[in-house]
Amino acid sequence: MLRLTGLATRVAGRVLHRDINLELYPREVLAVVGASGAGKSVLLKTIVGILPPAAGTIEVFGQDVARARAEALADIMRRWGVMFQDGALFSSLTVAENVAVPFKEWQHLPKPLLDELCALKLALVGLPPESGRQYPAELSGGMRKRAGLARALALDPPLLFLDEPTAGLDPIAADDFDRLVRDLKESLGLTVFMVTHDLDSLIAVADRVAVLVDNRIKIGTMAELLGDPNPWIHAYFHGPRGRSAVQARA
Amino acid sequence: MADEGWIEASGEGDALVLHAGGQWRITEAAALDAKLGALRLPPAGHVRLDLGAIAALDTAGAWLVLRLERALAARGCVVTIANLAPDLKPLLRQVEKGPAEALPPPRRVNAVIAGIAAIGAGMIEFLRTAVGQLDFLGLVVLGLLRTLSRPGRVRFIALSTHMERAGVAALPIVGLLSFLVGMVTAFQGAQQLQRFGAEIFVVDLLGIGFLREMGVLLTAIIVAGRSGSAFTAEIGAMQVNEEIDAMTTLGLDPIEVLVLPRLFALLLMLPLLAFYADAMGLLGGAFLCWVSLDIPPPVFLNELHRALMPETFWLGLVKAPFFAGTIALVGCREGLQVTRSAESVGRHTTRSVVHSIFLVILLDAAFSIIFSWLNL
Repeated sequence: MLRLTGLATRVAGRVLHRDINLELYPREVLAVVGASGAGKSVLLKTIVGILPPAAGTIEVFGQDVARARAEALADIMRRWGVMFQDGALFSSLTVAENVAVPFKEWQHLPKPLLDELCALKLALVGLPPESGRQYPAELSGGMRKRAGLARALALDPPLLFLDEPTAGLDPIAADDFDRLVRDLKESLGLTVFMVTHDLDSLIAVADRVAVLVDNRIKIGTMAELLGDPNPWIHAYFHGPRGRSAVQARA
Repeated sequence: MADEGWIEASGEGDALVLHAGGQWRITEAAALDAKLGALRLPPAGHVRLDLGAIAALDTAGAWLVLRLERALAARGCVVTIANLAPDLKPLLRQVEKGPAEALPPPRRVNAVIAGIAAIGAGMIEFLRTAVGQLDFLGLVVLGLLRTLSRPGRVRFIALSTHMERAGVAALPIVGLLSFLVGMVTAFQGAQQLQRFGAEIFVVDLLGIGFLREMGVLLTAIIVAGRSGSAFTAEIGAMQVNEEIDAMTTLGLDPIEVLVLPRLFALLLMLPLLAFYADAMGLLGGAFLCWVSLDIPPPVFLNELHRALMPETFWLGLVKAPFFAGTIALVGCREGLQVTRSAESVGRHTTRSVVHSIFLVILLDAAFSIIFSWLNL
């Protein structure tokens, strides 16, 4: 699905990542964790093509993004969905119109079917139908995230990128969101690349975990990483929060 | 055929079977929707929905299946779904959580009534803006008094930044436009006056016209377009980002921090810019008189001296602070009115420029009437 080879990123002259190698398998959820400022969001933005990589290659669906032609790139973008941290909804459109954007851009659907599909997407992410008429500024943070997810899921992309999906949600809403991601993964066969801070969500949905530490990446299952000697990784999983999260699910 | 989505009916009455197959995906959704619309549904009875031939299904396809099932059920049919590939079953179950019906479209209103309603809404909006502007003026005056009682709180760094941006940075454009307008005025005036052999009076026209009206008005319009819009956009973007709420919770008064430095900057800079515009306009006129009307600069100056009285100059310049206040207040208020959307920033920036230019011209007319009452 996604393969990074020797990827390096640099922001304002500072090296954030070097020699990142990563492969995302079909139908898995990979969670990326790391300290604030370790460059989790930068990595995500580099993969989806917003920031240029300093070195290395990014292959999505078997195609090198840097070498892909414009049409091929557009095709790749149609087959992935990206959810940004605060939803990044278009503020001048209603929620339903936001969800309709990818449909209108890529498919020609009759208006009634379009409305039905938008309502369906909102229902899938657990938003009430009335919220479709509201503007993003009128929604709570959690609802904006859900609406952002509905827009990312509009075209049923096989590959989904989530940037901090549960940050800023109350624990119940965060649990709901985790369940939602897992359900959607099961039923739609999604592959998910998720940047997160949330230990509970790691344990609940992630198949593998990638830790960004010292500009490099370390990938493994939870069990493998629990035994990792790196001081940051140890502190992360064996601190009070890590311990209680692990125990709660064990 | 193999790649398209299709649906076919076979059998009659109670043995009706609907076979669906192929690609039931978003790319096929429009075609499938049309095919489903053309399908003749039985009035009642038993219907078997055979999905065995479906090769690929996504949420759009699953929704179409589900909608068909619901449409049949609504007609009183008993529907059984058969032969769906097991790996597609979770998807159908997931979609079943979907809405029973699409959100009803918003009510349509008669165009004439909508037009009349828009006029009414515009009128109310106008009055509300006028009241809001007065309200804001009051707030700013109070803030001003608070600040004046403690002059240490004047934000000199912000003030000088805004003076630089609104004043010094405007020098090139104000100078160039005034120079050109001075030339054009002189040229057009001379063409008319030449017919009476009175082209020397171009100097009077230019002097009085520029010093009393054109210089300050031109400057105010340029400043409204440059700085009034910038004030609105700056404060508006802060509003979008909740920076103004943050400021308030830190105990900072947005009026004191954001509005007063901008107001003071324009109050100080606009008169200076207007003076500069007067000078450049006269210079442009003098230049044209020299090269095309054979009035050399010394003669021009001599005539100017004869034509102008000191109050001509002051009557123009006295308007500048009023214009400055109008532009700053409208610009800042519109910025604070911005709601949390990108579109709102644009709308209020437009309104800021339109309203401040409108008010500047209205004020200018009011000054003309007052001056004529006072026989000035």
